Amino acid sequence: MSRAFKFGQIATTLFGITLVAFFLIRLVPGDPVTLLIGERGASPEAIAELKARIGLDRPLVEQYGLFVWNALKGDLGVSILSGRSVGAEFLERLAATAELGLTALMLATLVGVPLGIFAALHRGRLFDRLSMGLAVSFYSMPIFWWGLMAIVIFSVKLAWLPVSGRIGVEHDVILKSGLLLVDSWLMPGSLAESWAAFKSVIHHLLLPASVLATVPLAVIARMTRSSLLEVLGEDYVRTARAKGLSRFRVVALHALRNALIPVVTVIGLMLGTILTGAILTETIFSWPGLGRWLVSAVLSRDYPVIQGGILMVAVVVLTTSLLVEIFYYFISPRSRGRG
Amino acid sequence: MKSSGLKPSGLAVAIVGALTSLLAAQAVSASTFVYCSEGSPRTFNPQMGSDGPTFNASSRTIYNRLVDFEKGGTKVLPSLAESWTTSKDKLQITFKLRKGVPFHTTSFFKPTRSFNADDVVFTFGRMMKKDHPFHTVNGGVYEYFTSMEMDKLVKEVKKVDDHTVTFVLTRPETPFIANMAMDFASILSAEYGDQLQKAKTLEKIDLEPVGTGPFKFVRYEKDSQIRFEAHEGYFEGKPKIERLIFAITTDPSVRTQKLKRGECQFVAEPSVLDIPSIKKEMKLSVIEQEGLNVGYLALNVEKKPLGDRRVREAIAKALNRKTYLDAIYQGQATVAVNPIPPAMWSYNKSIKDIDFDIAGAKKLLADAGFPNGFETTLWYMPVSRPYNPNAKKMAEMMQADLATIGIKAKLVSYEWGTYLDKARKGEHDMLLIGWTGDNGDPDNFLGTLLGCAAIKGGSNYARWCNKEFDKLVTDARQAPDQATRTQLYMKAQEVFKKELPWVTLAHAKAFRAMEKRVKGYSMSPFGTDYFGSVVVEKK
Repeated sequence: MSRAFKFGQIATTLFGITLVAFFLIRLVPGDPVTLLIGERGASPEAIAELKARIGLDRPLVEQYGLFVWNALKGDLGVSILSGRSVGAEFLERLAATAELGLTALMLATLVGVPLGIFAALHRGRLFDRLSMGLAVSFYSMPIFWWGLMAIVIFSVKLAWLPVSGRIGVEHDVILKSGLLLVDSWLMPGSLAESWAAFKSVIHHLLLPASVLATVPLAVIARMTRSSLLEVLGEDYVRTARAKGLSRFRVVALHALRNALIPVVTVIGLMLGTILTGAILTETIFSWPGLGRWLVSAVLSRDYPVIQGGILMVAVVVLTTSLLVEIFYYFISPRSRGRG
Repeated sequence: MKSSGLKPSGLAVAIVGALTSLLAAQAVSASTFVYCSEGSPRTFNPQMGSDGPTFNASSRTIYNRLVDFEKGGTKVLPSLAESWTTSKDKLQITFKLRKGVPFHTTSFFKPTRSFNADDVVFTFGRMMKKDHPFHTVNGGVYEYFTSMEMDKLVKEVKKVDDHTVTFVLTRPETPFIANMAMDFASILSAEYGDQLQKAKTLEKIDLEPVGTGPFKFVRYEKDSQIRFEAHEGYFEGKPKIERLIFAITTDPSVRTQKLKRGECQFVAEPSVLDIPSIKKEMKLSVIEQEGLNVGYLALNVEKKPLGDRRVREAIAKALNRKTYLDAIYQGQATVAVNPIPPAMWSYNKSIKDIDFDIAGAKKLLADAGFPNGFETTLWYMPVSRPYNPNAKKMAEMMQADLATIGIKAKLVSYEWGTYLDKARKGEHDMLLIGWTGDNGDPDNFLGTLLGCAAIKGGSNYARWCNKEFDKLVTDARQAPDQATRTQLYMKAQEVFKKELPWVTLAHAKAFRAMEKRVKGYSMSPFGTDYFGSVVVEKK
């Protein structure tokens, strides 16, 4: 694939997304003004005036054209509800979701990969069945259920971890980078206070990140297991074994290296799953991220936030998958040949 | 294989160990008060919102109005205005303003003067005047003000002198004073407006708000937290709470867990299902109040055969409303007799409710020419509302009740926005809907929901226009003294009950849960929360 082709592909995808993001939400019945007014009702003139104020009186095609034209100029418009710039709101939310999502992905990898390796090496035995059974339950139980169970057990019954939020309210950390793990060190005050705030951030991250990690963890564990099993059946592994290498060396040095290549791809592609999982996780744990932002925008039909938000999320996902591809290019010699 | 060293049980131990080593957060100091609120405010300008979270974070915290409702009630009391007079033709209301009321001094604004008439003119000008420098700032959608047609009622806001302001109205309207206590009438600082204009950062007026209220705005992280601190110069006395923090927690059961865990001291709208478990905890308490609301079934009198009073009465008799209370409201509501709730002044206690009476209903239907009933539609809301948490279930129960007298009701529903839109146009036969009061004035129920003019506005869902009723309500709107108005409204409720444009269903209760050491809070019938008078006792 040439680079020009790749970028053409990305541009086409983004264009398609603007179409979907713009028109799909307008196909859903209801409009922001009716929802704002609620049971109160208002005279048709008052409603028309409010609609005109936010530009909903213009023809759809014109509204769409304006959206795309402004987006090309880097302006995503302003939220109907808050009156604030969609781009600015997006960036604030992105940091919160990134902090949660990356922690979850890290947890999922750190637990999922070893779990998959163990399962593959104990294939068919009790541990394999148990861990893969667990993976299926992680995958199939609704995140909402996991979240509430985790809160009831770890926060309320055992009193180990806080119920929700990003940081204890007693820590007066001002958002700079948006990542509280970083900002807790930038706050005014002593190092001890920063340390206390940092610990509070970790406390608050643990439950939601674990809950969000359930689905990717299951996928990563199963992927690692099946990929390792496949590689262990290959000729070069048999050769290595025949040379008399220890089982550890065979697995760790020869098999794993190749088995993990598809796992890395899966981890990269898990980003989309993380974002969808974040919608529910963020709602349960009152996490101020992208998921909650988009859901509340859909519920109130805040069109500029929905279309701009979805476009930006798409940009993030596409950028990451591009990065994964580049990374893949370096770790897997085979993919280079196809260039 | 066993040589690899790492055992799965070792991993589990490591995780549990890491968890246990991270123990609970430190306690919050007594002068800090954490309120688990139910949602993010839309903005910090109450002129541009119509929802509880916006009002709690702005009008009830940062701002005051010319007049205010008494704490925990609906009576209108002087606030930033010390007194007011009405001209003979009832078209001019003149407010005498309180002197020496300071605006907040914050990191972004240092006021040089106290509150005066310029602030009032500035505040209302923003909503009313298209050429006001702030009119279109941050979207400029003043939906509450517009939908209450305040822009049509108020012709002009005139500064008479520094401490006197006159509102010129286009028609006499006594509830106007109560409207001035509503959230959208919160007073902004004109001096702050000038400063922002000079700095060309007009949008900050709603993002970094300045008011005269009990708490100063410190910082907001959307969907996360809002921080306030006590306003030392508050004209009703500095609040006892030094730091007020709103921890935004949308899920009601998570709010309850946070309260139990001590992460907040006060919870907005706990789930009805959680209330028994909160009551069991020694250190917590729950308070309840009948809300200023009504859930009802509107009978569209423009549709046959609902135009016939006898048919409407038959429907009212056939519905076993008491059974709905337990099933829909978990018992946390009372059966509604009148369109206004009992807590409101002019509530007519002498009116007798329609009894559940199948035989009577059948007879009425036969008299009306429908001995075998008829077919109709019953619309239910797709969303949970405070006045009716589960309209679908209620519609199903009603459908079964109506079937006993031969009325075959088809259940209909749409997405919420569409539902409202179609209902406003009168496309329904029978419609489940309800209302939560805005200003504690009976006109806000009887006039807004049942007046002839409200058919066009769309809030008269029964599309019922009764000359006698309408005259009583219109006269009451213009009568100056409350005694006369009370009499007129009592009479209007009699006409309503005789004509039955609605089947009144329920007045739902509202709840707040808190630590027992929280004192001095009184629940507002409007469902908003005010912490200016709250004291948290030391543990």
